[in-house]
Amino acid sequence: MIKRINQYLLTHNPLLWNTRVLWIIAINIILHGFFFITGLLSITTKHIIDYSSVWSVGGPGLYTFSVLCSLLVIIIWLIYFLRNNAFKNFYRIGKWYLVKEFLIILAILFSTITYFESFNYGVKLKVRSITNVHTFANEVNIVNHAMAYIPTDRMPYFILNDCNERIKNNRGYYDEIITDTVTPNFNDPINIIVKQALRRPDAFSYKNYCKLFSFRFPYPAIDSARKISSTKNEWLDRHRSDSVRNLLRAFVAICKKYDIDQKLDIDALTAAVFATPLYNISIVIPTTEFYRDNFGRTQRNRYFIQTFSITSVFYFLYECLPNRRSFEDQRNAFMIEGYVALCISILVLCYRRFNKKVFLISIVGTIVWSIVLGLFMAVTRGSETSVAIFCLILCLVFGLVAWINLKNNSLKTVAGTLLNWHIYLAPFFTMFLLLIVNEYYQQVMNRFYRINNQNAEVLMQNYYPLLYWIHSHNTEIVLANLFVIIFYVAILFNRWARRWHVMPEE
Amino acid sequence: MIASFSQRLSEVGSYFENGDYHLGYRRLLDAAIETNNFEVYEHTLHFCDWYDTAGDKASVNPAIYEKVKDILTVIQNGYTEPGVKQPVVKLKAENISKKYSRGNFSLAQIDVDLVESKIVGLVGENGNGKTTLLRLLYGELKPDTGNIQYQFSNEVAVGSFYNTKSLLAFIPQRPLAWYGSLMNNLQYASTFVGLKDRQNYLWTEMIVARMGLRPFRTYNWSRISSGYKMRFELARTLVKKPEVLLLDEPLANLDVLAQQIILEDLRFLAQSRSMPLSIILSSQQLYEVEKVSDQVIFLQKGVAQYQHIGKETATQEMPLIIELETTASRERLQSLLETRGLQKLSFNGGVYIMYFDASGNMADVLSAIGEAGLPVKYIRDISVSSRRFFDA
Repeated sequence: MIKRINQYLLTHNPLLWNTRVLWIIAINIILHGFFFITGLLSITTKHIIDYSSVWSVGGPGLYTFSVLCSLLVIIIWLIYFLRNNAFKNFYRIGKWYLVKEFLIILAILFSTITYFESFNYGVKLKVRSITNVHTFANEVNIVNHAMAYIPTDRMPYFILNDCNERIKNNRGYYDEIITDTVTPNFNDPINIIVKQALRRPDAFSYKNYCKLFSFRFPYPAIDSARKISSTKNEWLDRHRSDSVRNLLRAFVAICKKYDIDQKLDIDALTAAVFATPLYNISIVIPTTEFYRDNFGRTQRNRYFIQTFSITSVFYFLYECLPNRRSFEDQRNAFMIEGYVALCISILVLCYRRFNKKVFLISIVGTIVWSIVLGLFMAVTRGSETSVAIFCLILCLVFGLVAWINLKNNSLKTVAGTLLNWHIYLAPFFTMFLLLIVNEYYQQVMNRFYRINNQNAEVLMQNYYPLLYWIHSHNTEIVLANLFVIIFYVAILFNRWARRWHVMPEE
Repeated sequence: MIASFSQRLSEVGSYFENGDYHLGYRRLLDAAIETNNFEVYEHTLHFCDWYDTAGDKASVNPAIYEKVKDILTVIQNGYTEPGVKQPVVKLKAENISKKYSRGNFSLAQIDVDLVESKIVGLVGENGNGKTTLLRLLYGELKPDTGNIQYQFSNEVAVGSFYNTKSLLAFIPQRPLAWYGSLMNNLQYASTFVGLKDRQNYLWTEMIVARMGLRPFRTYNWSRISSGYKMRFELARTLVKKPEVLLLDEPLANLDVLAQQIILEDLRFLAQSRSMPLSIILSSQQLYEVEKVSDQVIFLQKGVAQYQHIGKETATQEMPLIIELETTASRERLQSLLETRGLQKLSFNGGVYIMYFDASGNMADVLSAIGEAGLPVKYIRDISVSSRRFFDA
């Protein structure tokens, strides 16, 4: 069967035969499948709490294994792929042959270095089967609503933190005043307001609570802080202790589902809410199971709720569910892998298009350039920007001189080496530019901060709209650059390589 | 003068009848390839299978005559006479010269006209510029002066020099290693001339059979000798259907018999009507090259001397030059041949080169040697051979 397929490809599509793309597809389907299934099997509901991110599920062992698999497949593929080269033998190749060959190389390398993505996708899919978006929103709502009745800190219940009186960015200030750790500055108007608020009998009350428990997930089904506050106040006003109790039970059920450590007395918590007419905070639940007493001995808290575990679980769930953030994370991961694949493709391409002498000179030369540049930077204490400017100039000069040599049909080895160096730097050209632009942006921004601290960004937007746009779209520009460079290598570089190939030697 | 196709087929028949089976076999394959007909290829390869299976016994098998007769009929029926066309100059180099920046060697201005179906031999001692000239003609080196023009009939050559080079084949003295199965490599090359599926297989097999490589086609590069490596390289070049073939010392790694076969094959390949080839080959095998070449360019220290085979014949005005290998002493030779017009005698330790005046005559020299009873191992008239340009 394999022999027949090979024979068919050999006599019908030599490019597919030579690149062994069919076999790579088959091998990659198997390996991606293996990693996907491993991902599916790697996680259960009880284990979600163990991970802070999807990337941590496999651990370094699986990540190393996937890299080794990639290396092995690439090496075996190269052994077969490099056997035949129609271009170097002057076979009658079509106009688009070299472009297609490059794109196939790129696709093969990209699919071979992304095994770990399949593992991650397996993990995500399993998590989605445990908790879908609807369930997630529902559970987040329960946690957000329930945490209003589980005080782990008095601050959210302070009267100046309610939905109407919230004063932003002063939390630390309140803390100091409330805990009387500093001598109050009586000239400070905020201090006076806080002092007055503290004298009120309802200074710390369930009524004042108006926040989301750490989660600001952009799903429309998730209730806002104001909604949570109004529901809570309605329940308090109507004395709906059963609703509170049921909510806390639902919360405990969620904790049990994800194995979040907690020990709560639901009845005591419910009773505490309605203990005083002003719904004052009478208890604060510790956030850890153990604590150290004054003698340094480890003691167990009678009741506790491990809040950081709740945060961790829900952030992990959010990372696994379809949303803008997970899309952006995935896009960024693919972008980095795309650049890695592009760089390896360029190396393979240079080996395929140029003779061994030129390839070797260019590789050794690149290493020497890097060392020289590093030493130069170390000695002169140059900034990143000066490195970027230097690399940009090198990239342009290499390309220009190579192009002139190609035009004049002279200095074949020099032209080939410069072309290689030019293309090694090309993928990073835009990044060097962005580095310079961002440095300039920072300088301008600092100037605006000195003029008007509050509206520096607005000033930037008005006076330097292009600079602002570039700064706020760095990722998109880098992503677009990936495609531009792929196009550049596929069309122009291949064309120059073809021209170089027929150049006479000097 | 190229024989008609029917004549060629009857010659093939007569080779078999006279017991020259291997020559007949090769010429039969030549004729089959000439047809450009895949049905003929199919039948021919069946015949090859039978011939190979029968092995050495094929020659004593009376069925061979019937088989040959049948296949010759198939070939005759499958052949369509191509239209007559004037042979064109495929490669024209005018006043090309090259001087290396390092070293003292330089190639003086040389003209090369390579006409369709013709062979130009390039001879000379080592380090006299044969490979340099071939690399100049192939476009691998840039000439300091002069220009080179290529005129190919295949429209593929149009557009870029890469396309031109796809019809201009150069086989270096030491071909680069192939990787993977040899047959796969050949089929891979065939696919690029637009041959798919069965046609690809038949065409490749025909060339493999023609080059006598059938027993080795499943081998790998490392398993074959350097002589066969050259043949496989030649086969790979031929499946690409080039119009001009530049060969650098193709005979270097071949045994004496293989050298003769390859040269004969090149002669026939060049004269093909359906796929005519123009060939330039460099070699140290002077006499063998002269036998098959239409023109010989002798290079000495980068300077060319031209010899048109067949156009130059020994005339009364030309001095007679004879190469002789004998155990007789120089004095005896001198005294014997002085009366026959011997003017100069040089000896290189192995052979004597004898220079006579224009009145010198080969028959007289032979009769003098015969009458004196000199022990002769080898004698050759090199008056019009490039051998005369070599030092003793």
